[in-house]
Amino acid sequence: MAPIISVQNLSVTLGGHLILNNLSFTINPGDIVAIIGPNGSGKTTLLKSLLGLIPYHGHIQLGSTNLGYVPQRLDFDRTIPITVTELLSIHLQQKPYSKIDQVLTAIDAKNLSHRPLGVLSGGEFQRVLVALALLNDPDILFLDEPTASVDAEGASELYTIIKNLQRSRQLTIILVSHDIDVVFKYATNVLCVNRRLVCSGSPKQALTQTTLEQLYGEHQTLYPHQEKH
Amino acid sequence: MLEFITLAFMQRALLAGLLTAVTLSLLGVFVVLRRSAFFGDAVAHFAFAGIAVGFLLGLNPVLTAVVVSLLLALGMGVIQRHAPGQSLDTIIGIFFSGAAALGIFIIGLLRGFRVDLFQFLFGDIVAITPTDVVYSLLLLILVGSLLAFTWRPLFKITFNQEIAAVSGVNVGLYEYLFLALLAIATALSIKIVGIILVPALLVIPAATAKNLSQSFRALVLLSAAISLVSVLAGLVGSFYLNTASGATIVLVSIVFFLTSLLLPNSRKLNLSKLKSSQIK
Repeated sequence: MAPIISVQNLSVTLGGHLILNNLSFTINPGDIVAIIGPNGSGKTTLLKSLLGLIPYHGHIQLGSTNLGYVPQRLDFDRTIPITVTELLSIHLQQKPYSKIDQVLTAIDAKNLSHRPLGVLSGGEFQRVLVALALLNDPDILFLDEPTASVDAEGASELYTIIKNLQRSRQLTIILVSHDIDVVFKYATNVLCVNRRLVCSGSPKQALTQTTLEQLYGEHQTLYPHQEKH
Repeated sequence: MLEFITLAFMQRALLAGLLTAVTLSLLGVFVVLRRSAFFGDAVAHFAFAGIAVGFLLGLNPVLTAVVVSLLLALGMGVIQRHAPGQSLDTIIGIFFSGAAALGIFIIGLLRGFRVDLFQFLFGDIVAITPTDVVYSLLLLILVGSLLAFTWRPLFKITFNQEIAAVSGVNVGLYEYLFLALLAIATALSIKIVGIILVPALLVIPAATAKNLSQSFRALVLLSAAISLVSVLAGLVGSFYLNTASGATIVLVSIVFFLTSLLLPNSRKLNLSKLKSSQIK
């Protein structure tokens, strides 16, 4: 299978600081890839360089130009008067407009369609951003800590929706996450980043005691969440 | 009561004023949403410097106002994009002061008292010529048609630059285009309504409409409507009160703004329940 993302010798320097150093990896179509690492390790920088939002050295090849993106923090003026439907209409690249209803239904947010954006809760707003990213049928979906401003229940719901979308639409998903539990539960592959690529592969193979210590320092062990379902 | 409408100078004032009001209120929606009200003030002062340059060199002041405004606005855009670490506020403040100082410096070099210069600066809407009316119509057509083609990418950039860029919008190109459009519209409007009224019409009607709206469609329509009513009421008021027309228009629009602050959220206008397909 030809990879949908191919990265060779990727390095990024911002403000004179080397943020990413010589990363090489490939991602196959349909994978859910989690980028993990400690704070300041270059996870968001890696995502932004894949999206072409920041300058980089090296070679990045994407198998599609149809991309969806949910940023980590949206610097958005919540007093802008716009409804969910209007926001999606403005971003819709090709008719029919029924796609707006479809995408809102897919993320279980049909009831939000005529609500002004400014009154939505953190979780509702995050769903709208996911709907926005899915609107133009992307082949690759990039999510930068999509549940950072959502409670545990909302986060679990959002990841279930994303997982279902990946199955039904054959999406490739690249997500940045802090939550190792999420990585084990939803990701098919993992990229461990701490300026350089510390490990990669399936979560079970890649996330060993040694690689976790390399990533987060010594005395790091995996403790599964005691979640009630 | 309606005698003002029979006077030719008032007819011209009304026509040019209303046309300019619509033009500036449409651009104003983006100025307000981008939180760059201060930028509107700065561009008005760029035009002031440009008018002074025109008088100094003996050239058409409208033309020099357009050229100088364009150069300074785009220059400001280049510094903003390529000088990281400088806040937008600081850059605008420096350009604002610099343009005002340049204008005053040049006026000091001019010999004698120039009444025509002060007309340019403070705008005399009741001294409007038929050519000015044509100018304002052409400006509305230019701004209206360019916004008709660019409002979607401009809104996407206002919402989030990164999402816009990922969806294929050339962010830099549209940013410069908006700055250029704002500079041209401001420079041409100053001849008609003056340096005080241009930033006011750019900001106050759109800010008032923002307080009254829950949807983007309502925002655009209300911004134009409030601007039209402000100019109409201000002109008629100034006629009967024998006050300065520009200042009266600004004061009327501020009354609308203050009133809009009293409206509760539940009473705000939301026109988005019209069919999605109507949002084109």
